[in-house]
Amino acid sequence: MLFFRAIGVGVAMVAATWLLGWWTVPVLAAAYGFFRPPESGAASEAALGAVLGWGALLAWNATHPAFGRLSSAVGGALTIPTVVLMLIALAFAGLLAWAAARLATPQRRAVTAPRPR
Amino acid sequence: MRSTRLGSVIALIVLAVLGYAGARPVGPLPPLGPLLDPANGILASVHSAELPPLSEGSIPGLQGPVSVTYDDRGVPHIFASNTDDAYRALGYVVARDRLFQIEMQTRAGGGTLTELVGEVALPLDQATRALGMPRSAEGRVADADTTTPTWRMASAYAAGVNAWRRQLSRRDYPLEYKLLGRAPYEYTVLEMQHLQNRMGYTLASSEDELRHVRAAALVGRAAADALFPTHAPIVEPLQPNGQSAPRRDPTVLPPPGTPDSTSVALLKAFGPVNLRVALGLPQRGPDAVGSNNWAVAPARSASGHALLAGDPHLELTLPSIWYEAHLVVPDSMDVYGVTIPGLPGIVIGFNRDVAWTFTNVGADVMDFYLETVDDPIGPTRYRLDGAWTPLERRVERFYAPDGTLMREDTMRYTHRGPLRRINEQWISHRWTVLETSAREPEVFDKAARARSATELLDHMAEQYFAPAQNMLAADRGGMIAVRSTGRYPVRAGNGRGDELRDGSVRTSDWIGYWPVSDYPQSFAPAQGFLASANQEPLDPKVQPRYMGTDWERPWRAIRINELLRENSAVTADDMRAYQTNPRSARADEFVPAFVNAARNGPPKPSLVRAGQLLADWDREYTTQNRSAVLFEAAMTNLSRLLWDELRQDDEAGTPAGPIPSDMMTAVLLTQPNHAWWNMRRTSSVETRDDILADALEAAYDDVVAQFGEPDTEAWNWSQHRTASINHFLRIASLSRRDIPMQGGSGTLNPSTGAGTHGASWRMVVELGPEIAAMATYPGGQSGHPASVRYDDRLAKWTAGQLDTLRVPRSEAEIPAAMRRARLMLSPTRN
Repeated sequence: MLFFRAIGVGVAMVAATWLLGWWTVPVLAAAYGFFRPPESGAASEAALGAVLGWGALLAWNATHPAFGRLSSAVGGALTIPTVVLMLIALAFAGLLAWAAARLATPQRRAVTAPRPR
Repeated sequence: MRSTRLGSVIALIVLAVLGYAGARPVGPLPPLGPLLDPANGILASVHSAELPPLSEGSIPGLQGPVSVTYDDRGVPHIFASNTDDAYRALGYVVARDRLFQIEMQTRAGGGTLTELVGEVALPLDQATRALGMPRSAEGRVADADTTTPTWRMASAYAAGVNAWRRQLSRRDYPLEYKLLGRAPYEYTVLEMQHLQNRMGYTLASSEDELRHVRAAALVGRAAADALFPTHAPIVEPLQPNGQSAPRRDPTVLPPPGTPDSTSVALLKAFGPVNLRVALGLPQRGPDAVGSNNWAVAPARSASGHALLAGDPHLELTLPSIWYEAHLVVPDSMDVYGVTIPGLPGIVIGFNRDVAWTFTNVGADVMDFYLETVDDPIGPTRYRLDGAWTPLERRVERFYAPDGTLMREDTMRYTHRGPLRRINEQWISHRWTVLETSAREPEVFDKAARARSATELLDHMAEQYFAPAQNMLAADRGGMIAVRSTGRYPVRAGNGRGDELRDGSVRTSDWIGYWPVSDYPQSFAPAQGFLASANQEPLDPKVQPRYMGTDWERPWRAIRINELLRENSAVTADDMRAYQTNPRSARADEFVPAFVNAARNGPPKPSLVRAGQLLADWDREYTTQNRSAVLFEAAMTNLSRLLWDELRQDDEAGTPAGPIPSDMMTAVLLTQPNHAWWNMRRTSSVETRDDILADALEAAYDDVVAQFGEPDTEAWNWSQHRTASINHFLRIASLSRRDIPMQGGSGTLNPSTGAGTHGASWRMVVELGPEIAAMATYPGGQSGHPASVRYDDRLAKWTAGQLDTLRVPRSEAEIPAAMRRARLMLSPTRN
């Protein structure tokens, strides 16, 4: 189930990143962490979803015929191999999503916990 | 519970760190979020690498639809119903391929590069502002008549650039913006003026006014004047002088004299400074801007039609300084050629009747004045004809990319131009580029519509101001013509501009400009051809007045004229081949002297072997030849040994003087016992052959020590001279470096030490009933490093090959197989 939920998160990440930009990753992850039930592993699912989503986008880029030329240009400009750049991008998305979801989960508990009378 | 809390703390730290690094630049890194974003960031740039087969766009103000067809070479053919629309579309398509270049170049001219790339550009921006370039551009725009065709044309072009920029999503920003973490800026008519100034800066010429002073401080005034003459002693001018070979004017070279005390004192006040270096003007070695152009009249062409070859040499950049385009407006304009991204109009090219091209004149159009000021630290007034005159003040502000103020400089201006403090002296300068009219774009619009070479050159003479260019034109009527066009100052007194002038009197001011009738020019010359190669354009016996001193050495001019004199049936392909002809007139001048000195010199094995190598050399700088490296080393040694008197005088502490060009060395070859051949520090008396033999022998030993025996590949010329085409940001992976090139010093494809300058656009046009043209430039049409069009022309350029240009009168004339893409432009709906 974790994997399927992560795929769902990933699809949402793809759409949001495409339409609005990178900053939607922590926002979506936080929302996911907030609304998922506590103890459900929301942070892991969000992180996996972000990696899958961004991974899909990177894979789409990599299938373009011009990617080889872009890769050598960008790799040289940033002085790192493009594959490392892609791994950094995945780690960036995954960590951002994990951290945001991880921080949002207790907030849900705080909001939904019965208040002392 | 504790682990949950710890996890939350770690998550908070991770989110804070990545959130910050994602949104804000950290050190040299741009914000990581937009950069790494796979949908909009740097790797998503791959999707904009190539032109889509069919696309649409809109531009505000467009009066009708415009169709653009890109041919298989990536050249846009713009078909519009009126001229303004054609320029709107030109702005759009140039921005589509070169948006970052437009911003980079215009910011360089405006001194605002720091706002794009940060503090690293501060020295360059300061130099640009100190030269007064932004002030002059702003003044031109403020004073511009907005009802002129120029203004309309410039506004139309800017609208096209901005229409492309505005419809870009972040995903489609050029790669460089993503690397820098920036967004493209608004393009206005002011930016065009900045760019125009930048071109003037790029081609700024003339020798340093302190050159004579530095030489005279070591060897006396008479010797300095003779070593750095106003006129070239080897005469092969642009304006034909009726000679069938270069003329060598008798030159009396006084022996090295005693130091001139006035010069020594002046030099002490300035220190070992070069005014042009101090002002941040471009410094180039010989051959850096080695442009050539020539034309052949129908009587000397195989086809019976006029032929024209253009070969402007500039700094090599990726993307190229040029962008190729074709503009068609029925019954009004049909012009093909290259445009400078950011400026409307075809700068070099042809229409259905006329072809034209330029080389830099190199005239002296910038003078320096020694000013007297009221306060040596913060002056407010300067002395003029005995009275104190207020200085104009202007505060130059430099901003960082985030908009924060980085620095403020206070600039001062006299009535002549910017005032600068150099060591203890206050120097002002006047420069034609700062006084250019805002109407320059109109000049090229008129060129595009000219029906004859004469009409084109007359338009240019009337309106074109700076930088001065040798404009060569040929037409279908068989006319070939050239005129060195621009504005040349007339100075009072001896008329010379190569000396520091007294700023305290108005009599030092320019008193006008040359009349066009005095410009170097030739129309339908009897010899049947014309050639220019940055040489002194006028034969001093025809026109002795001062025009400048920074003439390129005559070797290229001699070689072109030699080729054109010996061929009375020139073909377009001959013209193409001449552009990379490897033979050197400079080697023709010096090799026999070296060989003779080796034969008559002492029988030392190195000298004998070196003499034999040069004797066997065909004097061609092909990539595989193994003698050019020896010859160049010998020439370096020769200069060092011959001009030893101009090297630093350690005892007096006088800094080294400037080194005369090898043209003066050639003059001395005919005077074997001249005092200059004798070396200052030896007790014996050396003659020409002693020095030549010593230079050659030492060169052979040095080259063998460095590269092994002459039969090794390390002696190949390709191992020593290469072209390096740098990206604007000097990023290695976006540059193309170490390209083996045919050509060397003094050849028609000259190479510089660093290989950073070279042929920027090679074009050959045959003006028959139908225009036929070939051309190429180093690079490609696209500024996108992932595009196949980024550097697809490099291979042919390197090999000296040209592409056949497609010049359709209508879209229907472009065969389907040769259509790469199509763009339909329409007016923006309100």
